[in-house]
Amino acid sequence: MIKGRTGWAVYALCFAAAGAVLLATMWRRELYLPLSLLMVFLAMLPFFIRFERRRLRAEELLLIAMLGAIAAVSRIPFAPLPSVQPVSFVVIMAALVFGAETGFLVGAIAAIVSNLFLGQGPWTPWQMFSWGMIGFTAGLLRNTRFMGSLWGKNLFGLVWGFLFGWIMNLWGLLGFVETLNWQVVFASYAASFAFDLTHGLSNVFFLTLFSGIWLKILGRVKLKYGLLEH
Amino acid sequence: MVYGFASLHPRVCFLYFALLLSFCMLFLHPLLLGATLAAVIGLNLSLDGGRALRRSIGGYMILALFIFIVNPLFSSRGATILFYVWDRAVTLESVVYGALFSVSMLCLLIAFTALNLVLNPGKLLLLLSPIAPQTAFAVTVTMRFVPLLTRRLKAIMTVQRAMGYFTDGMGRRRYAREAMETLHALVSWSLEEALQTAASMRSRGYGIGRRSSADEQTMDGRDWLVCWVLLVVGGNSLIGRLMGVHAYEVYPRLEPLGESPLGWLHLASYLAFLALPLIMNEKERLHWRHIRSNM
Repeated sequence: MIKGRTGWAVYALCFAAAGAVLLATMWRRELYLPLSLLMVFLAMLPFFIRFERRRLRAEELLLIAMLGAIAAVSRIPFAPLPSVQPVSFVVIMAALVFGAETGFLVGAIAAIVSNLFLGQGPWTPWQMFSWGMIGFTAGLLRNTRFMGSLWGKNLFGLVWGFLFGWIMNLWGLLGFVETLNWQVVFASYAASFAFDLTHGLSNVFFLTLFSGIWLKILGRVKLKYGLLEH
Repeated sequence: MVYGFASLHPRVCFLYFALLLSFCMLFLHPLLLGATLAAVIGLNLSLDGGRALRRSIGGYMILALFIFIVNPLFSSRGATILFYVWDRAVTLESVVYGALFSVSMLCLLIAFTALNLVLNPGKLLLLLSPIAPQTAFAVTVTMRFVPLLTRRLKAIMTVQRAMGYFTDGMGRRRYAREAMETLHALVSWSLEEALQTAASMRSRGYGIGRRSSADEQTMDGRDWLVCWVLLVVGGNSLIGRLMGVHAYEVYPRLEPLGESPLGWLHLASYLAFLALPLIMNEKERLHWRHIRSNM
Protein backbone atom coordinates (compact mmCIF):
# COMPACT_ATOMS: atom_id res chain seq x y z
CA MET A 1 0.00 0.00 0.00
CA ILE A 2 1.41 3.37 -0.90
CA LYS A 3 0.76 5.74 1.90
CA GLY A 4 0.43 9.48 2.14
CA ARG A 5 2.69 11.90 0.31
CA THR A 6 4.96 9.48 -1.58
CA GLY A 7 1.93 7.72 -2.99
CA TRP A 8 0.42 10.91 -4.33
CA ALA A 9 3.79 12.00 -5.67
CA VAL A 10 4.08 8.75 -7.65
CA TYR A 11 0.60 9.08 -9.12
CA ALA A 12 1.11 12.75 -9.90
CA LEU A 13 4.40 11.91 -11.61
CA CYS A 14 2.70 9.24 -13.74
CA PHE A 15 0.00 11.72 -14.73
CA ALA A 16 2.55 14.40 -15.56
CA ALA A 17 4.59 11.96 -17.64
CA ALA A 18 1.43 10.83 -19.46
CA GLY A 19 0.60 14.44 -20.19
CA ALA A 20 4.10 15.04 -21.52
CA VAL A 21 3.79 11.99 -23.77
CA LEU A 22 0.46 13.27 -25.11
CA LEU A 23 1.99 16.65 -25.86
CA ALA A 24 4.95 15.02 -27.60
CA THR A 25 2.60 13.20 -29.98
CA MET A 26 1.36 16.56 -31.20
CA TRP A 27 4.79 17.41 -32.60
CA ARG A 28 6.20 14.13 -33.78
CA ARG A 29 3.91 11.98 -35.89
CA GLU A 30 6.52 9.24 -36.36
CA LEU A 31 6.80 8.68 -32.62
CA TYR A 32 3.22 7.44 -32.16
CA LEU A 33 4.12 3.79 -31.63
CA PRO A 34 6.95 4.18 -29.10
CA LEU A 35 5.04 6.89 -27.27
CA SER A 36 1.86 4.82 -27.15
CA LEU A 37 3.85 1.95 -25.66
CA LEU A 38 5.23 4.37 -23.09
CA MET A 39 1.68 5.47 -22.36
CA VAL A 40 0.53 1.91 -21.74
CA PHE A 41 3.47 1.37 -19.38
CA LEU A 42 2.63 4.54 -17.50
CA ALA A 43 -0.98 3.44 -17.20
CA MET A 44 0.05 0.17 -15.60
CA LEU A 45 2.86 1.52 -13.44
CA PRO A 46 0.76 2.67 -10.45
CA PHE A 47 -0.84 -0.77 -10.17
CA PHE A 48 2.51 -2.50 -10.02
CA ILE A 49 4.02 0.05 -7.64
CA ARG A 50 1.07 -0.49 -5.34
CA PHE A 51 1.47 -4.24 -5.61
CA GLU A 52 5.18 -3.98 -4.80
CA ARG A 53 4.53 -1.87 -1.74
CA ARG A 54 1.86 -4.17 -0.35
CA ARG A 55 2.81 -6.68 2.29
CA LEU A 56 1.00 -9.72 1.03
CA ARG A 57 0.33 -12.87 2.97
CA ALA A 58 1.67 -15.99 1.29
CA GLU A 59 -1.90 -17.15 0.69
CA GLU A 60 -2.81 -13.96 -1.14
CA LEU A 61 0.22 -14.07 -3.37
CA LEU A 62 -0.32 -17.74 -4.19
CA LEU A 63 -3.99 -17.08 -4.91
CA ILE A 64 -3.17 -14.31 -7.38
CA ALA A 65 -0.54 -16.52 -9.02
CA MET A 66 -2.87 -19.50 -9.20
CA LEU A 67 -5.73 -17.47 -10.68
CA GLY A 68 -3.34 -15.99 -13.22
CA ALA A 69 -2.10 -19.45 -14.13
CA ILE A 70 -5.65 -20.79 -14.43
CA ALA A 71 -6.56 -17.89 -16.71
CA ALA A 72 -3.43 -18.51 -18.78
CA VAL A 73 -4.03 -22.25 -19.26
CA SER A 74 -7.81 -21.99 -19.58
CA ARG A 75 -7.37 -21.78 -23.34
CA ILE A 76 -6.11 -25.36 -23.53
CA PRO A 77 -9.38 -27.32 -23.22
CA PHE A 78 -10.95 -24.94 -25.73
CA ALA A 79 -8.19 -25.35 -28.29
CA PRO A 80 -10.43 -27.19 -30.82
CA LEU A 81 -12.86 -24.25 -30.85
CA PRO A 82 -11.22 -21.40 -32.77
CA SER A 83 -11.23 -17.99 -31.05
CA VAL A 84 -13.33 -19.19 -28.12
CA GLN A 85 -11.29 -18.57 -24.99
CA PRO A 86 -12.43 -18.15 -21.41
CA VAL A 87 -9.46 -16.01 -20.26
CA SER A 88 -11.57 -12.85 -19.96
CA PHE A 89 -14.26 -14.82 -18.17
CA VAL A 90 -11.79 -16.13 -15.58
CA VAL A 91 -10.41 -12.62 -15.05
CA ILE A 92 -13.93 -11.19 -14.59
CA MET A 93 -14.77 -13.89 -12.07
CA ALA A 94 -11.56 -13.30 -10.09
CA ALA A 95 -12.28 -9.57 -10.03
CA LEU A 96 -15.90 -9.99 -8.95
CA VAL A 97 -14.87 -12.07 -5.96
CA PHE A 98 -11.53 -10.53 -4.96
CA GLY A 99 -11.83 -6.92 -6.07
CA ALA A 100 -10.41 -4.48 -8.61
CA GLU A 101 -6.71 -4.64 -7.74
CA THR A 102 -6.61 -8.42 -7.74
CA GLY A 103 -8.61 -8.40 -10.96
CA PHE A 104 -6.03 -6.18 -12.62
CA LEU A 105 -3.12 -8.29 -11.40
CA VAL A 106 -4.70 -11.58 -12.45
CA GLY A 107 -5.37 -10.24 -15.94
CA ALA A 108 -1.94 -8.66 -16.35
CA ILE A 109 -0.04 -11.65 -14.96
CA ALA A 110 -2.04 -14.07 -17.11
CA ALA A 111 -1.01 -12.01 -20.15
CA ILE A 112 2.68 -11.88 -19.14
CA VAL A 113 2.85 -15.59 -18.44
CA SER A 114 1.03 -16.78 -21.53
CA ASN A 115 3.38 -14.57 -23.56
CA LEU A 116 6.40 -15.96 -21.73
CA PHE A 117 5.39 -19.33 -23.09
CA LEU A 118 4.19 -18.24 -26.52
CA GLY A 119 6.80 -15.54 -27.14
CA GLN A 120 6.77 -11.80 -26.45
CA GLY A 121 5.79 -9.32 -29.09
CA PRO A 122 4.77 -5.70 -29.44
CA TRP A 123 1.31 -6.87 -28.36
CA THR A 124 2.43 -7.96 -24.86
CA PRO A 125 1.91 -4.59 -23.07
CA TRP A 126 -1.41 -4.05 -24.82
CA GLN A 127 -2.62 -7.48 -23.80
CA MET A 128 -1.51 -6.91 -20.21
CA PHE A 129 -3.33 -3.61 -20.23
CA SER A 130 -6.55 -4.94 -21.80
CA TRP A 131 -6.93 -7.99 -19.59
CA GLY A 132 -5.83 -5.98 -16.57
CA MET A 133 -8.48 -3.37 -17.33
CA ILE A 134 -11.17 -6.03 -17.77
CA GLY A 135 -10.36 -7.19 -14.25
CA PHE A 136 -10.04 -3.67 -12.88
CA THR A 137 -13.37 -2.42 -14.25
CA ALA A 138 -15.18 -5.61 -13.24
CA GLY A 139 -13.81 -5.20 -9.73
CA LEU A 140 -14.84 -1.55 -9.54
CA LEU A 141 -18.39 -2.41 -10.55
CA ARG A 142 -18.70 -5.52 -8.44
CA ASN A 143 -20.93 -4.11 -5.72
CA THR A 144 -23.30 -2.29 -8.06
CA ARG A 145 -26.75 -3.51 -8.94
CA PHE A 146 -25.66 -3.56 -12.59
CA MET A 147 -22.99 -6.23 -12.07
CA GLY A 148 -25.23 -8.11 -9.66
CA SER A 149 -27.70 -8.90 -12.41
CA LEU A 150 -27.01 -11.46 -15.08
CA TRP A 151 -27.96 -8.96 -17.79
CA GLY A 152 -25.44 -6.50 -16.47
CA LYS A 153 -22.65 -9.07 -16.42
CA ASN A 154 -23.51 -10.20 -19.93
CA LEU A 155 -23.54 -6.66 -21.27
CA PHE A 156 -20.19 -6.06 -19.56
CA GLY A 157 -18.72 -9.20 -21.16
CA LEU A 158 -20.05 -8.33 -24.60
CA VAL A 159 -18.77 -4.75 -24.48
CA TRP A 160 -15.34 -5.85 -23.29
CA GLY A 161 -15.18 -8.44 -26.06
CA PHE A 162 -15.20 -5.54 -28.50
CA LEU A 163 -13.11 -3.15 -26.42
CA PHE A 164 -10.42 -5.79 -26.06
CA GLY A 165 -10.17 -6.22 -29.81
CA TRP A 166 -10.20 -2.48 -30.38
CA ILE A 167 -7.38 -1.86 -27.92
CA MET A 168 -5.40 -4.69 -29.49
CA ASN A 169 -5.88 -3.14 -32.95
CA LEU A 170 -4.36 0.08 -31.74
CA TRP A 171 -0.69 -0.86 -31.86
CA GLY A 172 -0.91 -1.67 -35.55
CA LEU A 173 -2.96 1.44 -36.28
CA LEU A 174 -0.78 3.83 -34.32
CA GLY A 175 2.50 2.57 -35.65
CA PHE A 176 1.97 1.56 -39.22
CA VAL A 177 -0.82 3.56 -40.78
CA GLU A 178 0.07 6.89 -42.26
CA THR A 179 -3.20 8.81 -42.31
CA LEU A 180 -4.98 7.99 -39.12
CA ASN A 181 -8.54 9.02 -39.97
CA TRP A 182 -11.89 7.54 -39.05
CA GLN A 183 -12.10 5.56 -42.29
CA VAL A 184 -8.95 3.62 -41.46
CA VAL A 185 -10.08 3.05 -37.89
CA PHE A 186 -13.48 1.81 -39.05
CA ALA A 187 -11.88 -0.42 -41.67
CA SER A 188 -9.61 -2.07 -39.11
CA TYR A 189 -12.47 -2.50 -36.67
CA ALA A 190 -14.62 -3.98 -39.41
CA ALA A 191 -11.81 -6.40 -40.26
CA SER A 192 -11.64 -7.63 -36.67
CA PHE A 193 -15.42 -7.53 -36.14
CA ALA A 194 -15.97 -11.29 -36.41
CA PHE A 195 -13.21 -12.05 -33.88
CA ASP A 196 -14.42 -9.41 -31.45
CA LEU A 197 -17.99 -10.65 -31.76
CA THR A 198 -16.91 -14.22 -31.05
CA HIS A 199 -14.96 -13.02 -28.03
CA GLY A 200 -17.94 -11.03 -26.74
CA LEU A 201 -20.46 -13.79 -27.39
CA SER A 202 -18.29 -16.43 -25.76
CA ASN A 203 -18.03 -14.14 -22.73
CA VAL A 204 -21.84 -13.96 -22.70
CA PHE A 205 -22.09 -17.72 -23.07
CA PHE A 206 -19.71 -18.41 -20.18
CA LEU A 207 -21.18 -15.73 -17.95
CA THR A 208 -24.73 -16.93 -18.48
CA LEU A 209 -24.04 -20.58 -17.83
CA PHE A 210 -21.14 -20.61 -15.42
CA SER A 211 -20.83 -17.36 -13.48
CA GLY A 212 -22.99 -18.75 -10.67
CA ILE A 213 -20.86 -21.78 -10.00
CA TRP A 214 -17.56 -19.89 -10.35
CA LEU A 215 -18.65 -17.22 -7.91
CA LYS A 216 -19.57 -20.01 -5.53
CA ILE A 217 -16.23 -21.83 -5.86
CA LEU A 218 -14.13 -18.68 -5.50
CA GLY A 219 -16.35 -17.22 -2.79
CA ARG A 220 -15.99 -20.38 -0.76
CA VAL A 221 -12.20 -20.21 -0.90
CA LYS A 222 -12.28 -16.55 0.04
CA LEU A 223 -14.54 -17.20 3.01
CA LYS A 224 -12.65 -20.25 4.20
CA TYR A 225 -9.25 -18.58 4.24
CA GLY A 226 -10.36 -14.98 4.84
CA LEU A 227 -8.40 -13.73 1.86
CA LEU A 228 -7.83 -10.34 0.25
CA GLU A 229 -10.45 -8.53 2.27
CA HIS A 230 -9.97 -4.80 2.15
CA MET B 1 24.70 -24.12 -26.44
CA VAL B 2 24.77 -20.48 -25.33
CA TYR B 3 27.65 -18.58 -26.83
CA GLY B 4 28.55 -15.24 -28.36
CA PHE B 5 25.93 -12.53 -28.11
CA ALA B 6 23.41 -14.60 -26.15
CA SER B 7 26.00 -15.31 -23.45
CA LEU B 8 26.32 -11.63 -22.54
CA HIS B 9 24.82 -10.38 -19.31
CA PRO B 10 21.01 -10.13 -19.69
CA ARG B 11 21.18 -6.40 -18.99
CA VAL B 12 23.44 -5.82 -21.98
CA CYS B 13 21.22 -7.96 -24.19
CA PHE B 14 18.23 -6.03 -22.97
CA LEU B 15 19.90 -2.71 -23.74
CA TYR B 16 20.68 -3.95 -27.24
CA PHE B 17 17.12 -5.03 -27.91
CA ALA B 18 15.63 -1.90 -26.38
CA LEU B 19 17.71 0.13 -28.85
CA LEU B 20 17.04 -2.21 -31.76
CA LEU B 21 13.27 -2.19 -31.21
CA SER B 22 13.17 1.58 -30.98
CA PHE B 23 15.17 1.81 -34.21
CA CYS B 24 12.67 -0.54 -35.86
CA MET B 25 9.93 1.87 -34.84
CA LEU B 26 11.82 5.07 -35.71
CA PHE B 27 13.58 4.50 -39.01
CA LEU B 28 11.66 4.83 -42.26
CA HIS B 29 14.62 5.50 -44.55
CA PRO B 30 14.68 2.73 -47.21
CA LEU B 31 18.42 2.16 -46.88
CA LEU B 32 18.35 1.83 -43.10
CA LEU B 33 15.17 -0.23 -43.17
CA GLY B 34 16.74 -2.65 -45.63
CA ALA B 35 19.83 -2.94 -43.45
CA THR B 36 17.65 -3.53 -40.38
CA LEU B 37 15.64 -6.24 -42.11
CA ALA B 38 18.79 -8.01 -43.28
CA ALA B 39 20.34 -7.70 -39.82
CA VAL B 40 17.37 -9.04 -37.85
CA ILE B 41 16.99 -11.98 -40.24
CA GLY B 42 20.72 -12.61 -39.97
CA LEU B 43 20.51 -12.43 -36.20
CA ASN B 44 17.77 -15.07 -36.21
CA LEU B 45 19.83 -17.27 -38.51
CA SER B 46 22.93 -16.99 -36.37
CA LEU B 47 20.98 -17.66 -33.17
CA ASP B 48 19.09 -20.82 -34.04
CA GLY B 49 19.40 -21.32 -37.79
CA GLY B 50 16.07 -19.56 -38.32
CA ARG B 51 13.93 -22.32 -36.82
CA ALA B 52 11.83 -20.01 -34.63
CA LEU B 53 11.47 -17.52 -37.45
CA ARG B 54 10.25 -20.15 -39.89
CA ARG B 55 7.42 -21.08 -37.52
CA SER B 56 6.03 -17.56 -37.29
CA ILE B 57 7.01 -15.86 -40.55
CA GLY B 58 3.73 -16.80 -42.26
CA GLY B 59 1.60 -14.82 -39.82
CA TYR B 60 4.03 -11.90 -39.94
CA MET B 61 3.86 -11.77 -43.72
CA ILE B 62 0.06 -11.60 -43.62
CA LEU B 63 0.20 -8.68 -41.19
CA ALA B 64 2.82 -6.90 -43.30
CA LEU B 65 0.77 -7.48 -46.45
CA PHE B 66 -2.28 -6.01 -44.74
CA ILE B 67 -0.33 -2.88 -43.81
CA PHE B 68 1.07 -2.66 -47.34
CA ILE B 69 -2.41 -2.73 -48.88
CA VAL B 70 -4.17 -0.47 -46.37
CA ASN B 71 -2.00 2.59 -46.86
CA PRO B 72 -2.47 3.28 -50.60
CA LEU B 73 -6.19 2.54 -50.26
CA PHE B 74 -6.77 5.22 -47.65
CA SER B 75 -4.23 7.82 -48.57
CA SER B 76 -4.25 9.81 -51.80
CA ARG B 77 -1.35 12.08 -50.94
CA GLY B 78 1.58 12.26 -53.30
CA ALA B 79 2.26 13.74 -56.71
CA THR B 80 2.74 10.71 -58.96
CA ILE B 81 -0.62 9.13 -59.72
CA LEU B 82 -0.38 5.53 -60.83
CA PHE B 83 -4.04 4.56 -61.37
CA TYR B 84 -7.54 5.00 -59.96
CA VAL B 85 -9.49 2.63 -57.74
CA TRP B 86 -13.14 3.61 -57.15
CA ASP B 87 -12.39 7.19 -58.16
CA ARG B 88 -9.54 7.36 -55.69
CA ALA B 89 -6.07 8.13 -56.89
CA VAL B 90 -3.45 5.58 -55.97
CA THR B 91 -0.11 7.36 -55.90
CA LEU B 92 3.39 6.00 -56.18
CA GLU B 93 4.29 7.79 -52.96
CA SER B 94 1.54 6.17 -50.91
CA VAL B 95 2.44 2.73 -52.30
CA VAL B 96 6.07 3.30 -51.30
CA TYR B 97 4.99 4.55 -47.89
CA GLY B 98 2.88 1.42 -47.38
CA ALA B 99 5.81 -0.76 -48.41
CA LEU B 100 8.15 1.05 -46.00
CA PHE B 101 5.67 0.71 -43.18
CA SER B 102 5.16 -2.98 -43.84
CA VAL B 103 8.94 -3.59 -43.88
CA SER B 104 9.26 -1.65 -40.65
CA MET B 105 6.56 -3.80 -39.05
CA LEU B 106 8.31 -6.96 -40.32
CA CYS B 107 11.57 -5.74 -38.77
CA LEU B 108 9.84 -5.15 -35.45
CA LEU B 109 8.21 -8.60 -35.40
CA ILE B 110 11.37 -10.43 -36.49
CA ALA B 111 13.41 -8.49 -33.92
CA PHE B 112 10.98 -9.75 -31.30
CA THR B 113 11.55 -13.33 -32.48
CA ALA B 114 15.28 -12.84 -31.88
CA LEU B 115 14.55 -11.22 -28.51
CA ASN B 116 12.59 -14.28 -27.44
CA LEU B 117 15.55 -16.47 -28.37
CA VAL B 118 18.11 -14.42 -26.47
CA LEU B 119 16.10 -13.25 -23.48
CA ASN B 120 14.35 -16.42 -22.41
CA PRO B 121 11.81 -16.25 -19.54
CA GLY B 122 14.53 -16.94 -16.94
CA LYS B 123 16.61 -13.98 -18.07
CA LEU B 124 13.59 -11.68 -18.26
CA LEU B 125 12.72 -12.56 -14.67
CA LEU B 126 16.34 -11.97 -13.68
CA LEU B 127 16.01 -8.48 -15.14
CA LEU B 128 12.72 -7.85 -13.40
CA SER B 129 13.55 -9.15 -9.93
CA PRO B 130 15.81 -6.29 -8.71
CA ILE B 131 13.27 -3.66 -9.85
CA ALA B 132 10.03 -5.37 -8.87
CA PRO B 133 10.77 -8.34 -6.60
CA GLN B 134 7.20 -9.10 -5.62
CA THR B 135 5.91 -8.99 -9.19
CA ALA B 136 8.82 -11.13 -10.39
CA PHE B 137 8.08 -13.60 -7.62
CA ALA B 138 4.37 -13.74 -8.51
CA VAL B 139 5.24 -14.27 -12.18
CA THR B 140 7.73 -17.01 -11.28
CA VAL B 141 5.14 -18.84 -9.19
CA THR B 142 2.57 -18.46 -11.96
CA MET B 143 5.04 -19.83 -14.47
CA ARG B 144 5.67 -22.81 -12.26
CA PHE B 145 1.93 -23.49 -12.12
CA VAL B 146 1.43 -23.48 -15.88
CA PRO B 147 3.06 -26.86 -16.69
CA LEU B 148 1.47 -28.36 -13.57
CA LEU B 149 -2.00 -27.17 -14.53
CA THR B 150 -1.47 -28.29 -18.13
CA ARG B 151 -0.68 -31.80 -16.92
CA ARG B 152 -3.74 -31.75 -14.68
CA LEU B 153 -5.97 -30.54 -17.50
CA LYS B 154 -4.76 -33.42 -19.65
CA ALA B 155 -5.47 -35.89 -16.83
CA ILE B 156 -8.96 -34.50 -16.27
CA MET B 157 -9.73 -34.56 -19.99
CA THR B 158 -8.54 -38.15 -20.25
CA VAL B 159 -11.00 -39.10 -17.53
CA GLN B 160 -13.78 -37.20 -19.26
CA ARG B 161 -13.01 -38.95 -22.50
CA ALA B 162 -12.96 -42.35 -20.81
CA MET B 163 -16.34 -41.62 -19.23
CA GLY B 164 -17.68 -40.73 -22.66
CA TYR B 165 -18.29 -37.01 -22.09
CA PHE B 166 -16.03 -35.86 -24.91
CA THR B 167 -17.13 -37.57 -28.10
CA ASP B 168 -16.22 -37.01 -31.70
CA GLY B 169 -18.60 -34.82 -33.62
CA MET B 170 -20.24 -33.17 -30.64
CA GLY B 171 -21.54 -29.66 -31.28
CA ARG B 172 -19.58 -26.51 -30.43
CA ARG B 173 -21.93 -25.58 -27.66
CA ARG B 174 -21.83 -28.96 -25.97
CA TYR B 175 -18.07 -29.05 -26.37
CA ALA B 176 -17.67 -25.63 -24.74
CA ARG B 177 -19.93 -26.72 -21.89
CA GLU B 178 -17.90 -29.87 -21.33
CA ALA B 179 -14.58 -28.02 -21.55
CA MET B 180 -15.87 -25.70 -18.85
CA GLU B 181 -16.49 -28.74 -16.66
CA THR B 182 -12.80 -29.53 -17.14
CA LEU B 183 -11.95 -26.07 -15.86
CA HIS B 184 -14.24 -26.46 -12.84
CA ALA B 185 -12.50 -29.63 -11.83
CA LEU B 186 -9.14 -27.90 -12.29
CA VAL B 187 -10.11 -24.83 -10.27
CA SER B 188 -11.44 -26.66 -7.24
CA TRP B 189 -8.48 -29.03 -7.31
CA SER B 190 -5.80 -26.39 -7.66
CA LEU B 191 -7.03 -23.40 -5.65
CA GLU B 192 -7.30 -25.44 -2.51
CA GLU B 193 -3.84 -26.83 -3.11
CA ALA B 194 -2.34 -23.41 -3.77
CA LEU B 195 -3.49 -22.33 -0.35
CA GLN B 196 -1.90 -25.36 1.24
CA THR B 197 1.32 -24.52 -0.58
CA ALA B 198 1.06 -21.04 0.88
CA ALA B 199 0.69 -22.42 4.40
CA SER B 200 3.75 -24.55 3.80
CA MET B 201 5.68 -21.52 2.50
CA ARG B 202 4.78 -19.52 5.57
CA SER B 203 5.88 -22.31 7.87
CA ARG B 204 9.26 -22.19 6.15
CA GLY B 205 9.63 -18.52 6.84
CA TYR B 206 8.19 -16.73 3.80
CA GLY B 207 7.72 -13.04 4.42
CA ILE B 208 9.94 -12.80 7.51
CA GLY B 209 12.56 -10.53 6.04
CA ARG B 210 13.32 -8.65 2.87
CA ARG B 211 13.40 -10.78 -0.25
CA SER B 212 16.92 -11.11 -1.50
CA SER B 213 17.65 -11.83 -5.13
CA ALA B 214 20.69 -13.77 -6.15
CA ASP B 215 22.25 -12.90 -9.48
CA GLU B 216 24.70 -15.60 -10.46
CA GLN B 217 25.97 -13.59 -13.39
CA THR B 218 27.89 -10.38 -12.83
CA MET B 219 28.88 -7.89 -15.49
CA ASP B 220 32.42 -8.84 -16.52
CA GLY B 221 34.91 -6.93 -18.65
CA ARG B 222 33.46 -8.11 -21.92
CA ASP B 223 29.95 -7.08 -20.86
CA TRP B 224 31.12 -3.57 -19.98
CA LEU B 225 33.02 -3.28 -23.22
CA VAL B 226 29.99 -4.25 -25.30
CA CYS B 227 27.85 -1.97 -23.16
CA TRP B 228 30.08 1.03 -23.93
CA VAL B 229 30.22 0.21 -27.62
CA LEU B 230 26.44 -0.04 -27.65
CA LEU B 231 26.05 3.26 -25.87
CA VAL B 232 28.36 5.00 -28.33
CA VAL B 233 27.08 3.60 -31.63
CA GLY B 234 23.48 3.10 -30.50
CA GLY B 235 23.28 6.45 -28.75
CA ASN B 236 24.77 8.13 -31.78
CA SER B 237 22.18 6.53 -34.07
CA LEU B 238 19.31 7.37 -31.74
CA ILE B 239 20.28 10.97 -31.13
CA GLY B 240 21.05 11.45 -34.82
CA ARG B 241 17.60 10.17 -35.72
CA LEU B 242 15.87 12.36 -33.16
CA MET B 243 17.79 15.35 -34.55
CA GLY B 244 16.45 14.56 -38.00
CA VAL B 245 19.27 12.69 -39.75
CA HIS B 246 17.87 10.08 -42.12
CA ALA B 247 14.35 11.37 -41.70
CA TYR B 248 13.01 10.18 -45.03
CA GLU B 249 10.34 12.33 -46.68
CA VAL B 250 8.00 10.44 -49.00
CA TYR B 251 5.58 13.27 -49.69
CA PRO B 252 4.96 15.11 -51.89
CA ARG B 253 7.60 13.39 -54.05
CA LEU B 254 9.98 10.59 -53.13
CA GLU B 255 13.15 12.05 -51.73
CA PRO B 256 16.30 10.99 -53.62
CA LEU B 257 18.59 8.74 -51.60
CA GLY B 258 21.57 11.04 -51.30
CA GLU B 259 23.93 10.96 -48.32
CA SER B 260 25.45 13.97 -46.64
CA PRO B 261 28.86 13.49 -44.98
CA LEU B 262 27.18 13.46 -41.58
CA GLY B 263 24.64 11.00 -42.95
CA TRP B 264 27.50 8.62 -43.77
CA LEU B 265 28.73 8.85 -40.20
CA HIS B 266 25.26 8.14 -38.89
CA LEU B 267 24.85 5.24 -41.31
CA ALA B 268 28.21 3.79 -40.29
CA SER B 269 27.41 3.88 -36.60
CA TYR B 270 24.03 2.30 -37.23
CA LEU B 271 25.56 -0.47 -39.35
CA ALA B 272 28.11 -1.09 -36.59
CA PHE B 273 25.26 -1.36 -34.14
CA LEU B 274 23.41 -3.87 -36.33
CA ALA B 275 26.53 -5.93 -37.04
CA LEU B 276 27.69 -6.22 -33.43
CA PRO B 277 25.80 -9.41 -32.40
CA LEU B 278 26.45 -11.02 -35.78
CA ILE B 279 30.18 -10.38 -35.47
CA MET B 280 30.21 -11.74 -31.92
CA ASN B 281 28.40 -14.92 -32.92
CA GLU B 282 30.43 -15.55 -36.05
CA LYS B 283 33.70 -14.91 -34.24
CA GLU B 284 32.81 -17.57 -31.68
CA ARG B 285 31.76 -19.99 -34.39
CA LEU B 286 34.98 -19.52 -36.35
CA HIS B 287 36.99 -19.84 -33.16
CA TRP B 288 35.28 -23.14 -32.39
CA ARG B 289 35.84 -24.39 -35.93
CA HIS B 290 39.50 -23.50 -35.60
CA ILE B 291 39.82 -25.36 -32.29
CA ARG B 292 38.06 -28.39 -33.68
CA SER B 293 40.20 -28.54 -36.79
CA ASN B 294 43.34 -28.44 -34.62
CA MET B 295 42.18 -31.28 -32.39
